[in-house]
Amino acid sequence: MAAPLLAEAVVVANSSVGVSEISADDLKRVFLGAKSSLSDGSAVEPVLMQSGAAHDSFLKEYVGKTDAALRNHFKSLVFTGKGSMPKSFASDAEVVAYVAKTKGAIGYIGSPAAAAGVKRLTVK
Amino acid sequence: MRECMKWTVVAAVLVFAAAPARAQFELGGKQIQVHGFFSQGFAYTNTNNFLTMKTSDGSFAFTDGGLNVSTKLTNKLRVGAQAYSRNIGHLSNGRVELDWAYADYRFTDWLGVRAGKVKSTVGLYNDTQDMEFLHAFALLPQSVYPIDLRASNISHKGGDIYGDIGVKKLGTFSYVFYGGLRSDDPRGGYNYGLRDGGIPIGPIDGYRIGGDLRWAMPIEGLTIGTTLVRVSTGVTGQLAAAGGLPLHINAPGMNYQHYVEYQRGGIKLAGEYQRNPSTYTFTPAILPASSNDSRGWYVSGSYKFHPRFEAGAYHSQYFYNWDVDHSAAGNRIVDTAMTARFNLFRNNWNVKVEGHFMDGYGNRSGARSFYIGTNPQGLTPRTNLLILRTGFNF
Repeated sequence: MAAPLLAEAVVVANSSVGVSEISADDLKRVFLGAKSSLSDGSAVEPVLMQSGAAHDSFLKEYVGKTDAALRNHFKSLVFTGKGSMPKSFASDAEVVAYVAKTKGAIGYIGSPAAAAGVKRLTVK
Repeated sequence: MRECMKWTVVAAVLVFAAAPARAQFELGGKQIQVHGFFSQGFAYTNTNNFLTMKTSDGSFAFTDGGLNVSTKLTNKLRVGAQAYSRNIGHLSNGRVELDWAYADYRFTDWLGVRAGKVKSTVGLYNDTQDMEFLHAFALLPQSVYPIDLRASNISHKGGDIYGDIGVKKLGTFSYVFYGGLRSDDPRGGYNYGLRDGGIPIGPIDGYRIGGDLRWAMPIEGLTIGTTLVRVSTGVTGQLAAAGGLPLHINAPGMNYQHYVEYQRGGIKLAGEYQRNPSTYTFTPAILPASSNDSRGWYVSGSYKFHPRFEAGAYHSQYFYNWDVDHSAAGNRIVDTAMTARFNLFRNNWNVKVEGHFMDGYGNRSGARSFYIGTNPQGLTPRTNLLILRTGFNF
């Protein structure tokens, strides 16, 4: 059996996020900076990975932009004052550590086993 | 040239030093973000001098940069400011200005407000036209984004009401309504051009009231939209031909702009159409009242062959007065451009090589692209332009 070209990303969130599932539309809008709160009123903050298979998989499946296009999107917000640059991290462990301690943080990782201390969100 | 090279090296060092720090730090429990950019260009033309630069000899007078700082005071409230400076030929001359500074409160996803000096949303790229690192091209289509007339459209001192409305299966609708006083650049294209036309002018004042509505469609990567802006412009000058007689010019007008953009993977396609009907009245009425209908449009495409290499092209047309002969060189600027962009060092540094083939020079007594002051020998119908431009950002 051929190995998958892209690792499937696992969406994780801080325990303050009140939902256990999120629609693909809402997830996309969170990671484009167009949505800052969920249906239950939880304020959310997107957290990115810097690179890697899970990062590429997440962007392709849920955001519809390449890494460069997404960074340009956020730069256009930052340099016009209409948004902030999300934090980004190099590894699953760093993403989990930040999401675990940051209220409202939503991120993604490559390995479900690394999701200790954060809640997993199902994308519907 | 040595001065330009010195600032280019300084900017490169700052970017390479700041990029690893991710341009943010904590102060008083708040995350402060700092970002900046700098670009240096070289322009050469085979005939007419372009954008007040002495491009027929080759010119390095093509520099700009900006620095911003921002923070979230609460989950819903952000504040920030950006300083900007540029030197393009005889324009702006390195003047440091407050590019934007405002407070932004987001009540909900579908309702937010901004107040202060705000970048104006007009079309696809008005508010990002200074950020060359966001675009494949060294020079955006001048038919719609004239770099010499930037001040007339770039921002307003007032406020916005804005929001994003997601509709299941239909994509996202984004709106912004805004109003405020228009910006002015005492060393901008209008000042330079009118002075050369015998009417040195004072500060340009007026207001802008408008709105933009765009639809990120269910087709991935496709966005369409429209902007409507009501502009009032007032300026007092001195009519040199009448011994310096004070002359007030009142020029209300409209800006209609319609656009489409498609971006998927490495491909990016865009097209915009802009129409600017205006009327001019003079006090005293020594010149007759008049009206003008300027129009411009372009289509562009680019493709990222590799993370480090992107190529693109556009065709752009501008007509000073739509109701007059379109074939006259003095009424049009038609530009076909091709570009190659190379991304270096973690996408914080880029180099562009771009060629333009222009037909026409627009209204010689107006202010746009080709100016009498830098072309005292007269204007020839065709101009070929080479631009080399490098930019840094963090």
